[in-house]
Parts: sequence; C-alpha cells; structure tokens
Amino acid sequence: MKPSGSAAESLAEVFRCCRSELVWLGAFILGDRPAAEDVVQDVFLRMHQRSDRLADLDDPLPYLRGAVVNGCRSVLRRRLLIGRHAGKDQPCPPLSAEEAMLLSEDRRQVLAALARLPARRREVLVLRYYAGLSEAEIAVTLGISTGTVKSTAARGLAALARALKESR
Amino acid sequence: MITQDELARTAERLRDALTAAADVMAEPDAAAVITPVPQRPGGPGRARAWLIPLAAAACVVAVIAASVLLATNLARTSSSASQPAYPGFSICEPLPAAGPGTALPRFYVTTDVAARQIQLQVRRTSDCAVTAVVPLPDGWLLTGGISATAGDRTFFAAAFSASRCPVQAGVGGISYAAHETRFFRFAVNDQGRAGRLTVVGPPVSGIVGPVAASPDGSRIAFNAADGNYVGPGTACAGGEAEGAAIRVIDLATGKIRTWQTPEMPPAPAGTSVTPHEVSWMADGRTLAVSYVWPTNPSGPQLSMAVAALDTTSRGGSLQAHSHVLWSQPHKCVFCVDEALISPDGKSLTATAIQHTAHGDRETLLRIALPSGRYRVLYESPAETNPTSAFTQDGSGQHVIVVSGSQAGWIRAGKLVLLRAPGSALQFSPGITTIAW
Repeated sequence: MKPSGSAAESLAEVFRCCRSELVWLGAFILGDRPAAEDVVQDVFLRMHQRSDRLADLDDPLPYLRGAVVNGCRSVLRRRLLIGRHAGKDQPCPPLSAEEAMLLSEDRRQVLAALARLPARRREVLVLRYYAGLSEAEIAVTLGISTGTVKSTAARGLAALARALKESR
Repeated sequence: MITQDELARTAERLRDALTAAADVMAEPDAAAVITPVPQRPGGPGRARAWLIPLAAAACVVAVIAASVLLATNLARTSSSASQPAYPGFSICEPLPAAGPGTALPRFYVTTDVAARQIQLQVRRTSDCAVTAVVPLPDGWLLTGGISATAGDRTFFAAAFSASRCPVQAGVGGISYAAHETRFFRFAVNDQGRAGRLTVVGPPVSGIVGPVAASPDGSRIAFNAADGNYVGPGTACAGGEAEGAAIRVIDLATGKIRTWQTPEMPPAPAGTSVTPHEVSWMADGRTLAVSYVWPTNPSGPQLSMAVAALDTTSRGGSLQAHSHVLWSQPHKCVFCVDEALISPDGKSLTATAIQHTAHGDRETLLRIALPSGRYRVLYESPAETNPTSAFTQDGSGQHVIVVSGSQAGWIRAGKLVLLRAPGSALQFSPGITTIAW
C-alpha cells in the first residue's frame, strides 16, 4: 500500500526524530548495533507498508519501541535456534572501540555486565533505565504482567550488581 | 550479599552508563529506508532532548496496540519454513484417549488481529483448526486478556477503546491515557461454534490486569494496577492515580467490590505490595491473590506470597479479609514469579526461575498446600525463549504455557505446541492472549 502524502510526511518525521533512539534501544538489547539497525529498518519498512496504522496512533513512539523489542526478540530467537551461539547470547557491547574510549572504565564495565545478562532481564532493564518506561508500560510492551516486570527488574539489577562487585 | 544501597547505586550507574553510551555513539547510519531525511543538526544529544516531550506524551493505549499488532505481524512475516523445529516439541497432537483424570479441554480461545480489529479465535485443541471467529468491536483492544469458566465453554475478554482518549499527565514523567475497560462474554458449543459477543457488567476506568472469571461465570475478578488512572466513571475522563486493588464484579447486579492492597503479611509493616494474578477456587467464593514486595537487604531481592480472599466480604482491606496460603521461602531454589490456585485449593501451579550452576532455568511447578512441597511439571529448554506466562483450565490439571511467541500444553513434561502444522508463529507473548 502506498502511503498518502500526510502519512508519508508523518512517517518521515517519526523517522527523523526517533530512529537513533530506537537503534540505541535495539543495540542495548541485542549487544549488536548492525543487527539493531536491521531491526529498526525492518520496523520502518513495515510502517511504510502499513502507514494507515500510523494515523491511528496518538504517539507512535511506544508502538515503535514495542516493534523494536519484538524484532530484537526475533533476532535472538533465530540466533538461539540455529545454535550459532550455543544457546547463549554473546556479550558484545554495542560500541565501537573509538566510541568506547570516550566512556569511563566504570561505564564500560556496566555496559559489558549488562550485555552478559539474559535477554529478558536486559530488555526490562534497558526499557526501565534507558527508555524510562514505568513498570506498567514495560509490562504491556513486553506482554508480561507488572509483577513479572518487577521481579525480572529486581533480579536483573541484583545480577548486575553482583557482576560489577565481582569485577572489582 | 547485595544490599539495597548497592542496588540503588547499580541502578544509577546503569542509567548513567546507558545515557552516556547513547550520547557518545555515532549517529546510526541514516541511509533512508523510506524517504531520504536530512539529519537534525545538533547530534544525538539534541535529538534526545527533543524526545523528552514526546516520551512524556507516551500513550499506554498505543503501547498495547503495538504489542498486539506487531507480535502478530512479526508472526505472519516470519517464515516458519526457515526455522528449525523446536527440539522436543510436537505440534497439535490428537487428544489422548480418555484415561484417569479430567479430559483435556476440546477448545481454546486465542487472538488474531485483522486489519484494525482484534478477533478472538476459537480453536480445536486436537488440530488447532479455527472453529469460530469472534471479532471485538472495531477499535477495541484487549487489556486484561481472556478467561474461561470452569465448564470451558464460556469465555470472557477485557478490552478497551483504543484511540479516542486524551493523554493525561502521569507518574514519574510518563503519561497514561485515560480509558475505559469493558468486559465481553461469549459461549462456545460442542462443535466449537461461538455465540454472540455481549457486553457484561459495568465499565471500569483504567487498565485492568489479568482477569479471572469465576467458575460459574457470574463474577469477574481482576487487579487494578498501581498508578492506574481512574476517572469518575466516564470514558477518557481522567482522574487520580489510584493505589493497587483487587476488584470483583458481580455481573448480575453490576456491583463492584474492592479490596485495597497497601500492605499484606508476611511483608514487613510499612512495605507496599503489588498484586499480581488472581484465580478462583471451585467454591466460587475464594479468590487466590498473588502479590510481590521488595525484601530487606539480607533477603532475596523480591519476595512473593499468595493469599486466599473471601470475596463474600464487603470489601475494604485485603489484609482484613484474607489469609496467607503460601509464601516464597527466604532462600528459594525455585523462585516463583506467578502462581494460580487449583480449584480444590490444595495446590498452586506456578512459573519459577531455578538458579543452577549453569544459569537460570524457567520452570513450571505444582506446589502442594500447605506443605509447600513442589513438583516440576515442565522445564523450558535452555535453547528456547523463557516461559513468559501460563494459564490453566477449569480443572486446574491442564496447563498452557506461553514461551516466547509459542504456546503449548504440557504433556508428560513436554510441550505440545498449539499451532497448526506448517503455520507461522501465532501467539503474542503474554498471558492475555490465550485461555481454555
């Protein structure tokens, strides 16, 4: 379906404002920025094909966040299924060497520890502490209950704290 | 042992590291996918600043719409042929011959999303074929999910109107859309054909958590999440954020009883608890309510308990009208996330995380009451997505597990996937999308 002029303009505006944010979100979840860029590209492509849905949304950003999280899950699922990573996510902070040099050692350690967490915990922590979503919003974005969000976030944060403590 | 202070510091370090990383990351390659768009001057920092009001306008309605629509779209665009089968899984097996125990439900209800309209699908358990399609009214989206009565032939869905609500200022800089939830009911006959979808009970303002229909279908229970915006009774009216509560609607009278849940044992005094799932016992009077709370620094980071609420009480404090059935052991081997009670009240079915030397493993348990002894019903294979939700039938014997975007019922420790052979993935993650 070819989008109407106003739908195309809206989509272009959303693309302009939000693409970077979404790529970073995906990169933090996947630990792999090229893959995150592919996910976000796919999301925008599908939005382009179904731009009528864009017109239905008061604010497309939450919609896009959900799409990116789901896209990242598909990537992780495919990786796991084909056994490329032997059932485990490869820790791979989404920064180039040059970019990493701009961060303090402490921040690099935090990101490395985050990348080693299981995918669900990483998703919840990134949505909570990067995207700034509330527990209720994370719950509906991930399709889980608020109690599960709370427990996953607590366990994820505790695991992160333990990992950082051990790395000292 | 990790203290609360360390957790708070870790949270701050994480927020700081993510923000800093996003700021130093080069702008992602903006080769336009759709239309070439010039980059906004000022780099990522300015772009993020621009996003603040946009984030403040975030609308929960849209998030839910996204979750449902996109999960389905992703499912449709995924090529099942290109994905290897899940190891150890079978698909839509014929029903086992009648044996000891209760029969497997013949039908289950799940969702499908047409262009702009959510459809409830009735499917046959034996072959996953669609026997009926029940569209929700145009523009309505599921919020509290689907629930079945004990006879597994009457189903309820909680949904809200999605796009006509103004955004309200919310908690912590995040905004919520005020909206109105309605409850829908339909019946399924022996051939799997569905009766008319009817609206039941009064409207409820705000988002509702997972709903549970009473065994006879005369009442609906749900938890109203903490921080929900509730209005004075009309759609989109906005209102004040309300504390967490359990609500039961009597469908015959339309009367709603409410039990507030600020504190519950065994959580320490002064500690707020968050209610979670609700499930009915066969007596149609006792409602099991699970809830979680943050523990003190020396214990596990989050604890959980299940209480039995007498729903014939007039409402008020949950603590005053309930008693604790089970609580998470101080040092849990299987740390329970979600729990539903069996109809006879003698056990809980629960999802739990098992901490092992090789990492965490998601499991489904049956916990005997009051002893707390448990039996593992199902272990999620390490190479698959973790169990995200589960639901049980009216007998409490047959359990559907949602694992990633797959769902299946448990037979002898294995998952029998509930999707038609050769079809693509069909389930959105979450308990809200399937019931039997």
